[in-house]
Amino acid sequence: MIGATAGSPGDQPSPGTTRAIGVVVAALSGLVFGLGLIISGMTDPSKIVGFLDVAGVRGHWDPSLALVMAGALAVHAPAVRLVLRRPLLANSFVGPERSTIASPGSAEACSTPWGVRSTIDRQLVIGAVIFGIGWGLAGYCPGPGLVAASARSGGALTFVAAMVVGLFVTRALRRKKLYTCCTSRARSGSIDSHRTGCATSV
Amino acid sequence: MSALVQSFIGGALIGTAASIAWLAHGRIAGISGTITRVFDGDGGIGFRMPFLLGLVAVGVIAGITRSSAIGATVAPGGAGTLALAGLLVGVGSQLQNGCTSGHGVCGLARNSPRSWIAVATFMLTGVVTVAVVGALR
Repeated sequence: MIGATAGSPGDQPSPGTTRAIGVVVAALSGLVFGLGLIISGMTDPSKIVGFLDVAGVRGHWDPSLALVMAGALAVHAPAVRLVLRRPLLANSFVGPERSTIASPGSAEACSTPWGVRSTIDRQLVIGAVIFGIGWGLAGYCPGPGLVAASARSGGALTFVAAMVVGLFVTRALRRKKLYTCCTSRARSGSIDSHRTGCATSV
Repeated sequence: MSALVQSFIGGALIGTAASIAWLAHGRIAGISGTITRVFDGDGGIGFRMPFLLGLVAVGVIAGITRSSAIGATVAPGGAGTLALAGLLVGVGSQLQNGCTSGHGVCGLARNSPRSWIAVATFMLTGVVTVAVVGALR
């Protein structure tokens, strides 16, 4: 009787089936995401600029995009608080802060291109300053830019092409810097200085 | 439907998509990271590529059926400004390790201090940029 209950090893789908379901679910997630971007007005640069125009230089301030964030957080904040032992279709959660996966300063954390992601560092602030200027100039951020470019909105195509260059070139430069940092620290043999060195320079 | 209600519903869909990515795949639905790491061995084929294809498919369909819903560029100075803006957004996203989705939706939902700093900072420089551009025209 026990062997016949759901969840016994014999009832598990094959790895290939799980992978195929995973691909479909990922595509579905992208579809819903894109639909949300269009319905919310995020793909319309005039709405983004209207929201950022707190000073009212272009007309009156359009607060509606604050509601986009509110709607997204209303759904997603409870969802990330659900306690699951593992994701439904994968083996583990991949958080942005690698300290939850590899302890800070460990060789493992150093060997990932992303390093430790729990400290407020200069690159975070400088990156945000640069990002905001670009966002305010064009009224596009990555997701809406990609959707608008796919809809063949001419301006968005130019934006996305330049954005992809910016993303990949910066990534290549950061990887090189991290590698140099980690190898020099590893050579000096000090895990502590290696920790601080890697965490602040990446 | 009022613009505010429509924005909220659209936002809820974005949150739903991010929740699907997290609960099913254990992944952050951050667009800049998904693009940059689309060819990476770790989750590129299984998650990032199909996710982006879904996003692109919606754009293609919307472009054919309801292009007015997408909006059009408002950047002053045309293609040059758009290219500069794209470059800044790309470099900035990579340095801050996320964008409006990764920090603004996923990070804030997790109450990440990094994301609060990022969002407050890029909102501020976005506001200043729009004010400066508006004053110059």
